[in-house]
Amino acid sequence: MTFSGALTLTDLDDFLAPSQACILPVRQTNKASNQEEGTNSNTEIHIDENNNYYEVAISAKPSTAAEPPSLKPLTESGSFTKKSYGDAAEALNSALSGIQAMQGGVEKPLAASAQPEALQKAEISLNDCLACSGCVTSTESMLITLQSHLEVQTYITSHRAYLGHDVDAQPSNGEALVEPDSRTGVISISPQTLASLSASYGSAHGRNIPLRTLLRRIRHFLTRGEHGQWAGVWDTTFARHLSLLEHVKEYKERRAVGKGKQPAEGIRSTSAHVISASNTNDDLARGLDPKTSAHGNGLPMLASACPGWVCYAEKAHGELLGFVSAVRSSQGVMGALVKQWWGSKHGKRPNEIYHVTVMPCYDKKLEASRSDFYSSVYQTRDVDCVLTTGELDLLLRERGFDPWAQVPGEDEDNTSCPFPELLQHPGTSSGSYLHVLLTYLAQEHRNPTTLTARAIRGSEDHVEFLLVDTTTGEIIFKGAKCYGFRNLQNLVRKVGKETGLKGAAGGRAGAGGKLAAAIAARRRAGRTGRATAGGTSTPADSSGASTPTTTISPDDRTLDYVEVMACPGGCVNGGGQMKPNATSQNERMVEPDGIAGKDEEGYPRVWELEGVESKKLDTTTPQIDESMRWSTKAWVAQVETMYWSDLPTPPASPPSTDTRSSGSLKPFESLQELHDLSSSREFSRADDLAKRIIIDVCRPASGRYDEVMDEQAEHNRWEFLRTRYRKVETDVGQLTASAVKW
Amino acid sequence: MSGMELVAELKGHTEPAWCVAWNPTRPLLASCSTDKSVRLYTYRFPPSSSSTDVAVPIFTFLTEIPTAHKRTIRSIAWSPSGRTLVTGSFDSTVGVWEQLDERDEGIERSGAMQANDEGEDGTGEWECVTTLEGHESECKSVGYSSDGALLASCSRDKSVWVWEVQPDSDFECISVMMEHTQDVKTLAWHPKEEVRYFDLPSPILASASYDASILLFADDPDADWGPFQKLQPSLPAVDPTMASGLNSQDEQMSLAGDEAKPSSADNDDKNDEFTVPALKDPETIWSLAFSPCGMFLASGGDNGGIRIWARGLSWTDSQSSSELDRDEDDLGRLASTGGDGRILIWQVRKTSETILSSHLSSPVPKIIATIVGLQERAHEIHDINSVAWCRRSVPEEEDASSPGHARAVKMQQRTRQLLATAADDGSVKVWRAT
Repeated sequence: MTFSGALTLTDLDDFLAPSQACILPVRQTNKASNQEEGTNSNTEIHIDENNNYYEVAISAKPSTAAEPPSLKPLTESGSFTKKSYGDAAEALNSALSGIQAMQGGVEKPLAASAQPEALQKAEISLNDCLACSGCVTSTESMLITLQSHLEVQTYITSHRAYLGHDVDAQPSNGEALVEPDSRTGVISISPQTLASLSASYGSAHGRNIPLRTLLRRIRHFLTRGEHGQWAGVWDTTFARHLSLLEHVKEYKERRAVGKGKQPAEGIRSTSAHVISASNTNDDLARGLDPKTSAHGNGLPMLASACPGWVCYAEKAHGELLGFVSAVRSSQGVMGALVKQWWGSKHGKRPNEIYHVTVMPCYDKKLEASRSDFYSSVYQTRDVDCVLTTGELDLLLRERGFDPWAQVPGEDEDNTSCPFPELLQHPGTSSGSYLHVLLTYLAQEHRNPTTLTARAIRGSEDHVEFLLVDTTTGEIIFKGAKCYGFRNLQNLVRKVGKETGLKGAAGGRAGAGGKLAAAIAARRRAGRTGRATAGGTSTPADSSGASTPTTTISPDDRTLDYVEVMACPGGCVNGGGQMKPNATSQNERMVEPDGIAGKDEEGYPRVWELEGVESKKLDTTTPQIDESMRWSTKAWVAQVETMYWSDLPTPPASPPSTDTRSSGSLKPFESLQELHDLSSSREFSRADDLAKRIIIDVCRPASGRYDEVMDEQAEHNRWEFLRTRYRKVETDVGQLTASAVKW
Repeated sequence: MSGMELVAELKGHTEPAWCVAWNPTRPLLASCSTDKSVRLYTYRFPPSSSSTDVAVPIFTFLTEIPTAHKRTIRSIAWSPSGRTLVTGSFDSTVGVWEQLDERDEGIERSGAMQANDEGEDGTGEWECVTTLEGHESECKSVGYSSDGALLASCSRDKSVWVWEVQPDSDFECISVMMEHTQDVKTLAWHPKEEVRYFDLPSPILASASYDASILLFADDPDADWGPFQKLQPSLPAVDPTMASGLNSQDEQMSLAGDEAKPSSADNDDKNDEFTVPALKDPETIWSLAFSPCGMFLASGGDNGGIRIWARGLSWTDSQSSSELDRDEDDLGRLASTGGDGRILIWQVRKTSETILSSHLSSPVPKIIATIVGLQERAHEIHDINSVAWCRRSVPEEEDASSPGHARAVKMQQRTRQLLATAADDGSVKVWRAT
């Protein structure tokens, strides 16, 4: 087999830069001491069998002890044939895996005569990775292991050593070496986690544990001395309450700015600010107030509670970041609440608290690692470690937790918990961001309002909500819930189009010429045509043809707010949740000859791999396929049901377990119901506490809570409850090209 | 053996040309290149030769679209209507191009194309009407479904996307499928509009990948788009009658011909000058082509072999079954080319014999592939990246007695022998099978 005679190495930048390649090692500036002294500049890098890297002076003695393969992956990639442009990245990937191996390698001197110099390992921190465009997705496993249940187990062991529990109970030598950890432990558990655990335990035993009971059993278990004597085992719904209040406040700020307003310099200053932001006091001194940029942005407002979506927006759609809500997620608020407010109440500095959250989603680990949630003063994070639901289950099982064992006081109302427990904001099981806003806007509006919901393409994961003034027929709000990657794509296109951001950017292939303008005009004409022709849909039109031009059709009304979540079904279906209990499923769950994979939305699919054999497809495969998929959807529905099972007032039409639907739309489509559910005594207590906490933290000069407080207090509030986003540069091509020379 | 003659050599791209595409309704040939441009050529038949079917068309350069793509345009495809051109680029985006009509901007101009069939109507300015973003890395292939209602794209990011074509050049993403484990190299839509799946009709999309597998996707009415079958060419190496191979490198293929039917390729003994490599190792699949009847799928892999996949009987809908009953054995011609610079044309026929072996669930008709055309060094020393048959369509709704219909039928007959290739030297060549 011969190569084409025309094979040349040209225009290597033509393919997209391999984003999976980590560029950090290239930028390491450590030099071998020999080189610095100038005594020996000819060295080679050797790798021993443990993947340790050594620099060996080749002039001293030609080394035969080891092959010099370290640079091979890179040079090999220079020899690609034309057809393997795209595959060059795969070669570069091996360079990355080499780096990972270095991190995990064991220190061991190489027995070579040339005095090899052990090279410093490349240290890649989570922050480096978050600042890079690529390998976060491809080496998530590495990031996830940084925050694992093992780390929590280690903390428990160390904290027990501090508490002195191990002195007589654990005579083992290993334990004696543990360095005592004096930090006070706090675990904050998301309500979706409790729902998932409850559904999982319930399906194994045929009996459900109410979320509140389960939370208290876990609390009772973990506050015992042998399990680390955690000072707090709470849920995150009160933090979510604070987040939701701030959410409404931000919506009003944005509404005052208007639609589609997003000054470009706002984004730049935000990103510049974030990159330099290590100390808030420095920022104040420089006069860089981050909230100005947020105030500059208008509608639509896009929810930011889903770290998967935020991560995607930062990487792929930096132009939309100005529309992403700056309010911290419930995890983010919980972090500030525990380390700042609760800590100061109990005389603990932030670094004297070990805060673990339990979330339905792996991406929350990335969120907790964001620089905004790191205090350089105390060198600690608001959330030290994030576990997924499955990891908490593992931790509890390893420590012998029995969810069925009753504990004293598990049914009592009063607990030692400093926050209201399990506030079930009515709306969606992903946090009810949209519904809380709807409830607020309906209350705020002077006239009675009507809420209508429309599922796009019949999908429960893409629903548009219209809040209409019942008297005038005017649409006062158009919101949507948009879950899952595919719906997210269309949302991004829609928002880009509505805000004109895509047009302003020119599109990558240059849309925006005369034809594009003509088509846009046609679209507008088509819409107004539809609005007048199909006029019966709006009350204004039913009164006659006199006012059609003043009525904006629902299609023409641009979005005001979108509750965006990356997972189909929302957070109850998060990637870190419990998987359906295999034993509780019927036998068809057992994998057939085909292989089971996951589709893009996380639902398992089965396909045949029997080559041309297609008989199975006709008879067995579709059924198996169905069974697999529906069992998963039914499982998510079951978690959804558990999530709502603790509602103070049962919803009018509670979601049934056998339905495929997520049940999040149906029970809460009436404004009255939303209003009733969210005006209970529990919520007003939560409101009062939220205000007290804001006063405690923000220290307004007036000493009392206001919607808008004095400047310093507002700044404190911003730091307490909000965060920033930055566009991740995707094109690292130039950087690698300029940094690599041969 | 030749069996083919050179009709035109079209130079112009300054960098390797990657893909050629014939417009199904208009006399246009498009090519794309690493130089980030699309070149359009038109062709017409000399009036004097109108009485004979062996007329050789004359090709002329029409226009160049200097796209704003930032990197190589790897793939181009026409919509079935012939009005829209899509470009898939290594810059990860898909461009959608339509022609600016100076006569009446913004108003549909149906029927205007047929009347203009012999002339050049591609001169109007082509503009990007929308850009589809979403792929994380290089887009490798794009294609419209047979009815033009869906557009698919695939990428090195291992995903296959399906977009719904909406009025006024709008697109909505209806599926992102990530079942491949590697770079997705190419895709092909089933030529028939609807195929039964789960009792309901659905278009079928095939995709091929560096992961050495072909996936078949369909729209599950109860859920979303998803794969329903995985084909791995490395599997049945035991049965030599299943494989057909040539000693070439990667293969680019295009199937042409009219109605034809069922299963499994055979090596033609007459061509023993070619050695047949064993197709047992997993290999990247570079190209896919459905037979015009939709009953067969050909795949070209890294080792130079071509595999032909037969549609199992249980998979067929009633319509296709009835076609099976017809005693028609011409499956059309299959053209293949690759890095070896060779173009091969195979005549593929179904025999009355059937094959039933252990790895087959139902008997499939044995098919025979005979080489009827061979061109060595078709682009001199250069790798050939793409081959495409000219497939002019005859509008179904057209009144069979109308002049437009007659013109379309005539054009289809006159162009069916034409195929185009694109190569690393940036040139496009048009060939006629004789």
